[in-house]
Amino acid sequence: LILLLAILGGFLAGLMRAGLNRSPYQPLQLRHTFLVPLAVVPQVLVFQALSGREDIPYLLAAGVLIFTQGILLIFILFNLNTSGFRVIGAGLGLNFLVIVSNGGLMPISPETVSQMAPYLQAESIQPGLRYLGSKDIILLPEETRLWFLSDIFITPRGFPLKYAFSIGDVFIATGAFLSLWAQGGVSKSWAAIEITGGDN
Amino acid sequence: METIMSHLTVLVSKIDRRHLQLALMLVVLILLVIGAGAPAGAGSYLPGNGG
Repeated sequence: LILLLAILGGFLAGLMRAGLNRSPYQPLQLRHTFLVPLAVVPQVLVFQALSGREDIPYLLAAGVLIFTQGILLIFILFNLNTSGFRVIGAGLGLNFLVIVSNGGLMPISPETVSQMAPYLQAESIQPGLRYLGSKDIILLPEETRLWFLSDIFITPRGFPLKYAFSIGDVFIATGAFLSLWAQGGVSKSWAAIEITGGDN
Repeated sequence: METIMSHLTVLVSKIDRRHLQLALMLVVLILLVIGAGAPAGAGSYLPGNGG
């Protein structure tokens, strides 16, 4: 949900920019978009829809996450020249790196969980437990490879949504915002007319 | 019923290709950030088999 705020913000900012430029908002021209639902549907099934079921094996969850994030990396590579996609790709790459380095799920420390959800008992947030409704697994920082890339940040006090997120998530949110913001710039067809006019 | 259908037909005819592209773009981007990101919300926990 927290990443969707970047989409909403970027889209609104892009629309305002287009309005100020008096040019139509340009949709992104994306290639091989079928890869995105292909990757996300299994993730939603494993980490959201069925996440309350304890019988989803760890290996299945980890395998699904690694495989589907790999598909998304391929999608990003196909669309690398799209505005903001290099930043999204960097974020996805950082998340992918820490996930693969730690067995296939995103690490989060018990301290971060207890800060985010102080109502949980200490014995409930032992290392090795998976975190319901997320892609996370609780691991001690000293046992986490590339700890600084894991979910170490928490939304600030006063923010209505309590979330832990990684530096990769920050890149993804920034890239999504930039991508939508850029589409509110001068329209390509209008720019083409300008260039053609300049040549004549 | 016919009135509703005619209203719907007019509404659909006003949705041009650009609007559909915009909607598709937003859907793809929303799915992309959901799939690429890994934030964890305050909530319950689930004992796992790994770690």
